[in-house]
Amino acid sequence: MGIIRGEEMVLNIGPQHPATHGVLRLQVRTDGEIVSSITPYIGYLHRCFEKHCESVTYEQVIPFTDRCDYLASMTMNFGYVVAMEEMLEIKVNDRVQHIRVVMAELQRIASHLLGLGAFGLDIGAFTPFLHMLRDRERILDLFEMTCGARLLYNYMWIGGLSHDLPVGFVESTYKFLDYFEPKIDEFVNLLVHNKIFVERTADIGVMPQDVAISYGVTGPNLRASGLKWDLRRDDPYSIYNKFEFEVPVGEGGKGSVGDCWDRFYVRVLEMKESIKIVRQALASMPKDGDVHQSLPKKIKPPIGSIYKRTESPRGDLGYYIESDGSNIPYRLKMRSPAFTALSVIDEIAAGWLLSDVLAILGSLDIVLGEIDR
Amino acid sequence: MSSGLDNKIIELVLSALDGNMDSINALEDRVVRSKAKAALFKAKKDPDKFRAENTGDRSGADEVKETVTSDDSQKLIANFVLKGLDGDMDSINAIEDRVTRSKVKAALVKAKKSPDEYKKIHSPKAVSNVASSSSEVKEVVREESINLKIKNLSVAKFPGSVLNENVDDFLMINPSIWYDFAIWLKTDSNLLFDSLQCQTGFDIDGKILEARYNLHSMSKKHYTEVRIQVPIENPKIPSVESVWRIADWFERETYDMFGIEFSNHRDLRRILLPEDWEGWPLRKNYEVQETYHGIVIPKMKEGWE
Amino acid sequence: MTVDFLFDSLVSLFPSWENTDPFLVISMLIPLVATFGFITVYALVVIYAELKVSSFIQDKVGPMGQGVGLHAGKWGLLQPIADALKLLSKEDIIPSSANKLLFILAPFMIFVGAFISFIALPFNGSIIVSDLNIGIFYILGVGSLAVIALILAGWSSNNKWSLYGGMRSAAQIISYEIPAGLSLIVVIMLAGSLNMQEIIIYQQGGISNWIIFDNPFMPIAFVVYFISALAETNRTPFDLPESESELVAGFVTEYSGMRYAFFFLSEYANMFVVSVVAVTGFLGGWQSPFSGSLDSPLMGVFWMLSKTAFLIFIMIWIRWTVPRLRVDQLMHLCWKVFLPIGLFNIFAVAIWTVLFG
Repeated sequence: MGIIRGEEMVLNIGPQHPATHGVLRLQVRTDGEIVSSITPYIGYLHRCFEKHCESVTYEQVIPFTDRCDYLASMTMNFGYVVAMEEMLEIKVNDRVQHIRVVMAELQRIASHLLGLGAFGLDIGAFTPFLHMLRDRERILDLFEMTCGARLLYNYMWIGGLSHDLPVGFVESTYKFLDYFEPKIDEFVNLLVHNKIFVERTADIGVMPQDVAISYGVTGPNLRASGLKWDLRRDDPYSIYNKFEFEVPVGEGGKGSVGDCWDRFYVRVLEMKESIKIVRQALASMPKDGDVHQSLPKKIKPPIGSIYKRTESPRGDLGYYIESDGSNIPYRLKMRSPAFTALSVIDEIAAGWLLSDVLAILGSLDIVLGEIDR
Repeated sequence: MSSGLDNKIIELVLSALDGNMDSINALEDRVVRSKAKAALFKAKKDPDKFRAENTGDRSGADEVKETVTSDDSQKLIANFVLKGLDGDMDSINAIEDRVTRSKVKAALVKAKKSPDEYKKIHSPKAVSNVASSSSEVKEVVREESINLKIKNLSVAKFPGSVLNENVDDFLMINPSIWYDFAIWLKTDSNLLFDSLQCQTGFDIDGKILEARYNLHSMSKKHYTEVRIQVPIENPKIPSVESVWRIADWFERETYDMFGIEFSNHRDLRRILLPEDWEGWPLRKNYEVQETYHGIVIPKMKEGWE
Repeated sequence: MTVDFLFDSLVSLFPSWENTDPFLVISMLIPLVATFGFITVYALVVIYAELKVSSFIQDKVGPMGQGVGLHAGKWGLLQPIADALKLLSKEDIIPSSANKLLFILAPFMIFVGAFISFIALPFNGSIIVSDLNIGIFYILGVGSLAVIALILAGWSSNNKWSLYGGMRSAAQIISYEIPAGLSLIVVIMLAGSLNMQEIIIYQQGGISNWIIFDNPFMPIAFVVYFISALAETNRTPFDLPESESELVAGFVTEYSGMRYAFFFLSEYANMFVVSVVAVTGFLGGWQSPFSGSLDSPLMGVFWMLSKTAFLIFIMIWIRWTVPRLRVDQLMHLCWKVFLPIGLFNIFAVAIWTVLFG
């Protein structure tokens, strides 16, 4: 590692680069076009989230969690709220649980749409990106109808929600789901089986299962390597154990198991599963129930700590909260899934061409806000 | 709440809980009406409890009575925990008595760590075989927890490594043998902790720094937490980044924020902050430096910021 | 209006002038200025077409003129003019450590390379700037000037990303000239001449006489030529040298303002040249598809431009639909797929022509 060979070139991808998903610097050592090592440099977006949380109350932490992974804010809120409710032993009513699941699954669809579109853009397919953004706009319209915000919601509160569903939400959601399901097939035809796309992504950046587990990679990246691990199924929280859904796993459809194409295709299939869950949740949602019913007046958890994981679109989101009995957290750590996904890039991308490095980075679907906090 | 209120008001509130607001709104006396509305507001927070307390019959909550004898209470708790292990949380959440409910939930959390053993011991025919004293039942539950298992297994290989007596929530490990202990945790066939889920640092009152590791086994689906304490003057912990590769970045972050040095780490440098930053931000006594490369770091926000 | 025609008419108009050199100069200048004007107008039209076609494919509206003040003209027709004015008014930045002479030279060279191919393009039976006897060969030859220009651009910017872009582009263009040339050999074999007008006249008599329908191997040759031409002009799916998401902007990273505009102007000009060559060789040039009717000189220009416009439309369509190829896949396609097909085509067409006339 210490010797620089004569032909090696050191290249910096980023921090300002159209393809990195945020402000990220990758220092790449290349020999011609072949990459010999990659060193990621992060921290450009560090906003001292954990230190802030040590000086605000537990309710005031929720808008901060939104801003960590700004493309999937609902699931960030969800993870924190579930952890706090377990620590405080609050039980929320069924209507709140159903609404939370609907929002989290819609957010999962929106986040996957953006991740897949950006991946296509890196490969050079300009058009699917815009089609996916068009569909994502409709989901953001649904969110705006409910809580007034398009990107950072502050919607799930400890013990309930901030707003109840507005009149007409359920019908609009059904309309959206009916409109969106054939669009996934259209997208599959346009991009997923396209010969050039397959050549760019199949057999590239293969991540074997044991490497993935050792690096702590979870979520769709781990499922694409063949392991059926989904926190909604294996460690259920909220009411996920009441819904029927499949867990898609990568099977090496066009190449080896765990390559970029698998990571891409697993996300496409997950969108279909999320649609199923939303339909079931809307059908079984109780009509009455007050979303503010269980909001606690004072949040003073007992002394102790808790570590709770939930499934965000990028993987296992974990919150480690330690309380010292007051209404301000003593320490709050967010274990972000994209942090572990980025750490594996040196292992799986060394030895490929420069264009492949960008394809692999796109397939991991990272968001820098979550990595740097 | 039931004392001091007229029966009339109770009746009105009960009918209002069922949805009929007319009778309250039809009251002529303002004082009584406002009392009724206040009582209704309180009742709405927990309607079932209100109904149960004021109608005198406990329909719908007949499974749980106040715990009469310790034997019965243990059996009841075991029943509920078994139901919870099967996924039925509704009956647990319907328990009215907060004390019993929290006991059941605590036992459920413990049982979830090794559900099969719990089921074996507490399934209906086994309960009658076990001695009926509650203390023994408690010991059986605790014996099967994964933390205790680790403690017992480690006595032979690494004597004196587990430093805490009560291993319900975490294991406190001696820093000097942490590296070998970690390898054993990963490779031992009973344990197989192949995934390091989260690694954080803690600052305990400015005197002790602690590193906590949340470990999980993908194959056996059990999970434990390990804590290692070092004094703040000389915080050195052996690095486990060759055991679980993600510890590489996690330890760099802990070093960046707390200043805990991990020995034998291949490349320990700051990860989130610039390389030449001074100080360990997440320590409780941290003061931000005055300038960084000539840029003044403001301590208070100016008017327009 | 060829140069010769102009020269002869000027000489006959002023028979008293002894020295005919000024006439030569004037008769060369007029077509050049006309060509330059044509390129400019064509560039505006094709930029607008690209914006609108891409918008329809991507489910957007593109430049529109609705709203207060019709700021972009009706249907956004003033958008390309606005783009041109914007580029003209930008600051001209030359990096301090760049090689100044080469940096300034590169955009001119690439434009010259595209421009001088225009003099051999036939718009009509009589409108051609210079009716060279080696028309097609000449166009193929001067098209390679772009290679030198791109390498100069990549090298002189003193920037690793530009260097990458320049290297890739040079490799790509040089490689793809071979299948393009091989496909055109088949055309020349059938027509028996390198002269552009003669190739077109060989295809007279309506659509069934066009070279592309001559024998079953000609469509293959057409497809090979078309795809190789796409690669020559650095269009997607072969736009690796200037790919936005991978190499920042490839070899044009350090260029700004009008120099940047020159690179893209020459890319569009190349597209035109390549389409005209395809139309001439395979689709009958300025001949009308209905034999005998609609055949006046004016209609000749119309047929030529509309067929070219159709091919340019297909190029734009492909750009926004298909992802881009990686460098080694691109090379694999050229050397291992197109080259054998091109060679096979030559033999097959020759045998067919001998057997079936």
